[in-house]
Amino acid sequence: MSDFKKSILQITTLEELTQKKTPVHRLQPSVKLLITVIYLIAVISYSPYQVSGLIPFIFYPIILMTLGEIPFKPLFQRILIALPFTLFTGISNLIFNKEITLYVMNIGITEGMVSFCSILLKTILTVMAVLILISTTSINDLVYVMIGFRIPSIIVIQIMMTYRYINVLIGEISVMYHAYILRAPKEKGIKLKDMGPFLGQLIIRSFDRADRIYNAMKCRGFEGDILYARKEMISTKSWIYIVTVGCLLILMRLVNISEEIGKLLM
Amino acid sequence: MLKIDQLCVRYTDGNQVLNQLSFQIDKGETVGIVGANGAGKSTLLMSIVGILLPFEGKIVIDGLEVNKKNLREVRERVGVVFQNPDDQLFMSNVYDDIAFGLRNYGVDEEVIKIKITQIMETLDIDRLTNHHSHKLSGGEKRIVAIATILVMEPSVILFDEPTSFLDPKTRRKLMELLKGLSTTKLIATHDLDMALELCDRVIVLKEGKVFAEGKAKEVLTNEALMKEAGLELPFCLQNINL
Repeated sequence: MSDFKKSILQITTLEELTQKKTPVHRLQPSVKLLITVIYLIAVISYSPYQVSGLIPFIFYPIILMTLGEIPFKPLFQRILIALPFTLFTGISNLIFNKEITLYVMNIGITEGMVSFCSILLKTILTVMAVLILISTTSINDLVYVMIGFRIPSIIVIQIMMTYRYINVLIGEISVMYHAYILRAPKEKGIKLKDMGPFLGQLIIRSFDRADRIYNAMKCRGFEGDILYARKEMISTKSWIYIVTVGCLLILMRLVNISEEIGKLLM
Repeated sequence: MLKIDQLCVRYTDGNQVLNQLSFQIDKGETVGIVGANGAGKSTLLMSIVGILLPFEGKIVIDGLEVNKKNLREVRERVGVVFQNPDDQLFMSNVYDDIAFGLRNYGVDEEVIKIKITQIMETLDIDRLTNHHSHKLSGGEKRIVAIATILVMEPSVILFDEPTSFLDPKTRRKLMELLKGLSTTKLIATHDLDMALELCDRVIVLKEGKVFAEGKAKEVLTNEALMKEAGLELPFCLQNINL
């Protein structure tokens, strides 16, 4: 199977996961989005030199993945895609911040190492939280919840359209790539000197397509806003879930549970 | 009724695509627009729905002139089925794609549900309700794209190359569907066999002007005229040596 078809398959796998009927899937979409946002804020708000406080936050996605019957491997593969960017960002910390902050078995741990680990852990936790959200909630439901939360239409439309047309874009890249390779049989991939025109053509085609899609939307009365949002009343059960889990996450953020446990054990 | 009067359309690069084009389509007619590549067929369709404003001349649909002020009303009365259904199916599932236009015009959600159920039953696509649009076959996408327009009950439907990319069986199914539609239809097409079978009248465009106009059976069977317009006879009329 070609790499492009594999990419399309990876996207559709996540879509198929949303069809399951587990306790996590049954949660209302607005509840899942709200808790995910609280989780993300809690994780991101840690300072770069705090790592121990982040460790308890690992349990939340693990519990959700277990209850939601979400296979770990596909999620982990997607997390790996995000890691190179994090590594690239974090490496500067390792190089420039060499002040020793503590010793572990006579090995000096620099502030750079601590902040690097913090960035890495934050990336893994936040990406996992978002992937769990989109594995348990259909994009349609998410779009309507976002509109209900008064997130600007323009942002919601961007998310919706990106999701809808990513398959088309990958398909287009696949066609162009195969057309190239069939006329350059000795090459393994696109030559660097041809990458510019290749990407340029892709951008032009994307603009043309976007223009046609926008015209099609205008022809059906679109004027910039998604006018429809399913009015979803949050049930009592959902409120209990929001309050319980929300408070738990806030408590985990305010109290360094790892430190407290460490103190108890010592 | 659709009336085009001295329509001139020039693109921003200065290219004059339509030049004093004039014709009229009566209610209930099915009219084919044929012509060589670059004759202005798609440009004509886009002008009718006000995508290519401003233009010179007049386009009037059931007494409503196409201009910037009336675009919302015009687009409620005129539906366009685009050549590539992927350009037209932009929601993540079929139901929401078909509902899109109705929602933009403020139709009540209960009414939308009824209309969509009816149209999907009519077109025999009710099994596709919750399907993702991007996972449909080419033929299914085309039928769903038509459903997105039919559900709005326009008085005129414009088709841009409706049979392109379709296999023979799906093409035949689509033609039967179009035959059954009593709505006024304007079909821009290279499929001259379809035009011969479906259209009451045909307008031949050449270099942005009306080159010929008349009954489909008279125009499309005139070999000399078709040759001069940069076209040829429909395949069913050609002597092909096998």
